[in-house]
Amino acid sequence: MAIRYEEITNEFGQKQVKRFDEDGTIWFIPTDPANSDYQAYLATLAANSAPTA
Amino acid sequence: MSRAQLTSTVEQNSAGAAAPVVGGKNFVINGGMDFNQRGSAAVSATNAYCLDRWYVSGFGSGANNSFGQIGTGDGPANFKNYLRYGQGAGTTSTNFFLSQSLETLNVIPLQGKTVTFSFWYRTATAFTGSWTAGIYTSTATDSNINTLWYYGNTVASVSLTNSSGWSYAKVTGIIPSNANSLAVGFSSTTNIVANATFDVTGVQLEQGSVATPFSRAGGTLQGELALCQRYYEVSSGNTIFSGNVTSGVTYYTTASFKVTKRTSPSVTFTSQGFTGFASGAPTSYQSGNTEIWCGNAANSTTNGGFFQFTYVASAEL
Repeated sequence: MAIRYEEITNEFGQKQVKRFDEDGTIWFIPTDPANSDYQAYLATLAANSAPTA
Repeated sequence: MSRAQLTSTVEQNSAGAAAPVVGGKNFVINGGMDFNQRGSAAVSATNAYCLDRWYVSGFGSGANNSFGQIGTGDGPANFKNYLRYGQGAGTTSTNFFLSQSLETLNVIPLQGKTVTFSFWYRTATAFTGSWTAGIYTSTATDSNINTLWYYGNTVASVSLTNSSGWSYAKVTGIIPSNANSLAVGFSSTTNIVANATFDVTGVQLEQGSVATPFSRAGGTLQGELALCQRYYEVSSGNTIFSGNVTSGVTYYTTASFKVTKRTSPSVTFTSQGFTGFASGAPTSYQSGNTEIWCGNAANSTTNGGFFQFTYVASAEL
């Protein structure tokens, strides 16, 4: 199973991304542009929304 | 003793001014391969960090390949630890990339400057293909250029000959004035031999055209560990919330990082124990550069409830 992402908003209104790794590890990723995991998430989003030829 | 006398004594004793072993001279963190916070004996995956700050971006086709820290005392003189890439038995992978990227704040002082990259290496079993070590740059900000540097801008590189004993190598180049990211790395892309190993330590990148004796970037062991923890930290012991809890209510606690992070880190938790809470790790609510704030919902009403956990925080490039 590939890495899976879930965008969440907690009860304090803060947005976060949860990443589910293949080995079962769950990462909480801040929506910080300087965070490389968040950059990877945005890149995945962009790739998935890119039009196909 | 006056300063002039002291200088004279040093010169007499060493036949010339010795390069100082000081923190900050070396731009490569954990160049002595002293820290391995991830703790596993070896890494066996592509696009993953192994020893602190060292990134594996190519791993070939062999499932048995590994990267790990060796500290058995057979390193080069003055080094206890080294990093070993081990080729699996019966496999002949064709790609190997190991490198360390510097964050932009550490690249800016090198823009337009002459730098020298030096290290000790050993190939106990000869490789059929040549190995290359080099300095690579990118104009992107705070970029992990490990996965791209092979195709990116090469500042300088040196071909490594097979060496069953420890050999010292160095290469000098000029960093482009528009470089914002920089990596030093090692690669081999052809005919890696089964059971072969590549060992490396004493990695240093410094200003100037002369390779001087190795110095930890942090100056001391503790300083070096702190530099590593700017990017990655494993909590020690357990962080704990404890109190009387009511089912359905969420309880919170804050844990301060040992070292301020490069940026807001990604965090993951491991549950160590609980009473009054469901199994599973707590939820992160906020992760700043200096601390994490997390919580957990009680699933029963009890006196002396608690949840206890460890965490990993990663602010790697």
